[in-house]
Amino acid sequence: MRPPRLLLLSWTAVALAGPILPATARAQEPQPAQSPQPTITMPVVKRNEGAVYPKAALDAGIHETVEVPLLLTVDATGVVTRAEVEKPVGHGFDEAAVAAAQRLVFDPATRDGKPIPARIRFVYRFMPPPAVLSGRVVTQVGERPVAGATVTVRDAAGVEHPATTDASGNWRIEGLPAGTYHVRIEAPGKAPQEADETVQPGEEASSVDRLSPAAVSPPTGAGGAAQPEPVEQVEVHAEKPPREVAKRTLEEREIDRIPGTNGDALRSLQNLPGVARPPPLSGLLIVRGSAPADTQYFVDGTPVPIVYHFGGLSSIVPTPMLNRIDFYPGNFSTQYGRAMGGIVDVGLVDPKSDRLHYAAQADLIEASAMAQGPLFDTGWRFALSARRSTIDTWIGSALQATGSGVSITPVYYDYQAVLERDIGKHSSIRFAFFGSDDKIDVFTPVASASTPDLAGVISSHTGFWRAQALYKTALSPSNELRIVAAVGEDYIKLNAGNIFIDLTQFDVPARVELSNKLSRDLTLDLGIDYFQTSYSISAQLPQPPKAGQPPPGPFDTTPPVNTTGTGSVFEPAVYAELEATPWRGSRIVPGIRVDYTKDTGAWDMSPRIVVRQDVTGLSGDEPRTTLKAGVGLFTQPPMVSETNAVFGTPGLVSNRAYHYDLGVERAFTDHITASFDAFYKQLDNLVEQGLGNTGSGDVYGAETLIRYSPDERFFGWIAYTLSRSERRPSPSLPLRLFQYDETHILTVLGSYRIGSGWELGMRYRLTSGYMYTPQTYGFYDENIGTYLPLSSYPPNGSRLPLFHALDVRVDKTWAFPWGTLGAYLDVLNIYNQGNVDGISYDYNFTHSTPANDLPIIPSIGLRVEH
Amino acid sequence: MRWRILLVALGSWICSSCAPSGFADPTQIESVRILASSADTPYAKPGSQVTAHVLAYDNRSSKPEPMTISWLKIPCVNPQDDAYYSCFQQFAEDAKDAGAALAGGAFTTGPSASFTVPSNAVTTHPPQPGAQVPYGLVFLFNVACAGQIRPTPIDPSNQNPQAVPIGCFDAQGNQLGPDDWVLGYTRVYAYDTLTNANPVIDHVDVNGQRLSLTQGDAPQIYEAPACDSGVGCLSMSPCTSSDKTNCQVKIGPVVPSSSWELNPEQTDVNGNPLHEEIWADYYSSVGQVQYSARLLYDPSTGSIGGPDKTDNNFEPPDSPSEGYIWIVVHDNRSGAAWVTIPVSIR
Repeated sequence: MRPPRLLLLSWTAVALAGPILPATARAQEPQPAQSPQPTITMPVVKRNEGAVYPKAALDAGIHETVEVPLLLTVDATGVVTRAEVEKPVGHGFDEAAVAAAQRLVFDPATRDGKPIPARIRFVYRFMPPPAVLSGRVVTQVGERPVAGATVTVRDAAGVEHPATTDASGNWRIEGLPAGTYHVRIEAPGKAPQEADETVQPGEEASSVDRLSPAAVSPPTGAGGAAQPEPVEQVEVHAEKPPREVAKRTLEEREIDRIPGTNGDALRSLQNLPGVARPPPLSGLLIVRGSAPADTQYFVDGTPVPIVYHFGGLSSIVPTPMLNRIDFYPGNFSTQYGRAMGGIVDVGLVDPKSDRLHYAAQADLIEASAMAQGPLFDTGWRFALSARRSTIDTWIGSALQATGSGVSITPVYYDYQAVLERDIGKHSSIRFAFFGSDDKIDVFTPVASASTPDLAGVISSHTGFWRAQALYKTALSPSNELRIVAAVGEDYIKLNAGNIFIDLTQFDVPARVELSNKLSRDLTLDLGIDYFQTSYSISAQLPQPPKAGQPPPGPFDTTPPVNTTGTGSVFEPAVYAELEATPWRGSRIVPGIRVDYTKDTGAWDMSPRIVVRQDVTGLSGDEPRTTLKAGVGLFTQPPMVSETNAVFGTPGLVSNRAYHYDLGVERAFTDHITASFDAFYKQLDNLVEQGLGNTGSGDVYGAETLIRYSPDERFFGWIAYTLSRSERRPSPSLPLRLFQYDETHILTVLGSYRIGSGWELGMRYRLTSGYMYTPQTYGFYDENIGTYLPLSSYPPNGSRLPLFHALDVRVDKTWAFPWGTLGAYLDVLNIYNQGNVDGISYDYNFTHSTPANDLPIIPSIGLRVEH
Repeated sequence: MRWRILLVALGSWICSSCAPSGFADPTQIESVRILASSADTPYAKPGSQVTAHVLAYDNRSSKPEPMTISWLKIPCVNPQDDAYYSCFQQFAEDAKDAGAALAGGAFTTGPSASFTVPSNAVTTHPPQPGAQVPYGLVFLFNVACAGQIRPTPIDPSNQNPQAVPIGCFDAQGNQLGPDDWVLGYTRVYAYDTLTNANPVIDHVDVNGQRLSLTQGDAPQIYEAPACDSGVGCLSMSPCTSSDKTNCQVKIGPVVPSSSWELNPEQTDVNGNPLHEEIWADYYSSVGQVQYSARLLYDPSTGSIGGPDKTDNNFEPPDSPSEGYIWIVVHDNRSGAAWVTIPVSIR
């Protein structure tokens, strides 16, 4: 809300009327002869209500000081009986001056002490109304007020206007001339924040600034005293925060301490609303009823093929190497494309510059080490990290101890290296090299009667690496350029009996983004999103069944199909997005993206818009309530395997989804927030194996998050999602529940610092069971010697029982002069609930039994930080 | 990502093939069972005549009606997507009524059946991208039924492609369950050039000693225990030891390496040619075998090894009885051969 236009009157009667008034008086008064010189006094202003800088002038863009000369007739009582504009200037100034003059009251002119009428020249000087800059400073996480923050407002001439935030984080500077100001906000322990604000005459420009932490600090101390809040180094944004208006984030402490995740940041994503419980050991992310393949993963804007090591044991980037995690479950920016589900964009850490830091961690699953700091006095900063699985060191012995003849050697590792420096005050460059490698060999000496081909050695080797360069520069106070380019390799090698896949692809992804702040209320982002891949593939696989059809029998007897060759993928895109804040508390972000896919020769145009409006808390004095809505079109080109001449289908176009989202966010206190989203996804042109773009479907539901952000002792949240996901492989087939449909997803978690370095956390999950296809006695394949089931139709017509589990985590931290030592016990499924994740059948499908999910699994780990 | 999902699915498949405990042992024959079938030419030339044999056994404790082996006279040629269940739809389209097409006169009985591979079996098969050699595919359906085979009308609203239009019924018209009937099929591939011979079982070793067989030139179905002659018979004492492993004997087929044929349609990831995979399935109507299957030849590495790596363990029951052990040797190109070993526990 803007304040009323300020009144302003400037008059210079004394200075200007002085030389005029005597002449005028002389013209009016007869000159007695031979008499003494009379004593004459000029009229003196006694009451002045002032004049208003005309709105018409402001609307016309006139912001200068304007003078209007008037001729006033003041009678003997001091009243202005006539006001004339001596030299009109227009734009409402003349009328405003006359109206103001007619309300003037003078002490009349006198002659020898006797009141007399007088005519005087009077000049009104209209000064443009001053502007006001104000704002509220809060923490980026939890939006708690930051008191005592220093706000420095500098005008174009370099004149500074300082202010300090009060206990509520508010600040205000009045009386500023219109113009553009550079605002810098500093607070202890927080990263400074700078921005340019342009303010018009008589307007008040207000903003909410969220300060991020300055640096990482040890997560906990020892000794039992309540520890200072740890630095919020890693953020997990549960929904797209449209241009920093609001963010739902997870702090480092939350990520570290969520039970069942082993402190893995990316695994903590699975506790957010809209994310379904993935099948065990699958490593899949199922977002708002979408297929796992519909969600894309990025590291600083560069796409990567996976986000978890096999089975979801661990993510591909260790938590200490993460700077942020942006997670968009839907209605994401036009910056992102080629995806219909969600987006996970991970940012690598900005290396610290103060000193050398290092950390190490080990448990029964993996071990890792990390170091970061300045690179001597070169101005460069570095961060290095490496991690390797440890599970292979003991699982072989464990299997031998159980008498299993199976030999299994799972090994994974990942690595990250970052080298970064600033170039001047406004630019920085960073080089990063990161990758991941998963390898597993299984030797089964005993053939299964149903799948004899899977006896012997089965091996899988997958991985990727990326070499990335990231350059950021502020071209001007209102223009920022960001360029990220990478080269890399993805590989998949699988051998199982007589089937294999050997896929190697060399990727060149690049992105150029220009952000241009057109005005205080308008920002335009333009970008180019380039993706090119050259691949070679050699595969020998069974013929894939058509969508929705049972397999034609064991692959052992079907002649496999082969493909060998090379190819390329070329998928450039351009996008534009406008961010408008036409009135207080609003944010409207329309955008459009155009994608080209060489594989299909298709152009896809994707318009999107997000609208947010604060309905309470506009002044910053009360908790904020925000209404939000979004709608957009999202396309996803067919995968290489789907357009492949052997395994694919000719004539495909892109998959398509319309996202609709309507929601509200409410902050009840500094720590308690709630959000609610109703969403709907309409899917069509879905690629179906062997059929084409015949698939369609929809996903609808609602999700809510009630969260208590970390204070000195506690954090926790309740996340609940209610949804339904349906698919139809072709128009002639019935609509049926999608295989990843989960009606109810409830996660309740919390963690409490008991004292003496101890912290206790719990996570309870309650979700609907997976969909499955019941099977009954059917046929006997005599060539293989195995029964084949009669599968119920349509597929996925039944649901497994409800899943529920309680995970508990206990942490203990000791502080030493050199750093901290931490130990934790993370127990999955502590009451050993026999959850069902599938159905096992006997050899002829006449008897079945539930196949249980993971039993109680304790995990113990150590962590050292300096 | 599609490849990764395939890996996940494969992993799930692997796990699903691990039989959980608590189920009936599939190697134990206690009902009507079809164990295998074998065509004399698994890869047949178009226009040639093929004879297929089936190995079945009825070990029900009560047999109100005897088991009968029936063959559907109409071979199913090149069904849609090479799927066996598409044959029923094909039958229905050909006869306008699948039930009528599969009614009584449609079957012939006996342990074997002959048919002629259509001369256009290869040319009428839809081209399969990625297939190394053009082929045709013929499905032969057979039924082991301890009753009468009758059509079972399918509800027109039933869109399940696997819906079965026939059943096995007793004299009172009651449809019989899995213990009393099996609906099986065997594939015969038609190739203009490729051939495949059934694997050869040279002999069977028992604890390293050669067991003489009465198997003739062709696989046979034994109708009764035949240990009286003492030839080709496994005669053992009941196992009364508390440690059953003390009674185990090692048993396994000896398959010459000449049976490990080159598979011209397949290569490994490096482009090297692959051979057939050969494995042995085990069944018994008395006692217990430890493994349901043992790998004999790997497609790339060949022989798995000697008897210590390929033999099975047979454990006799704790009381006198008579029965059989069946060893069925498969290759992964529809080839099969088997031996039936009478067992006498006295």
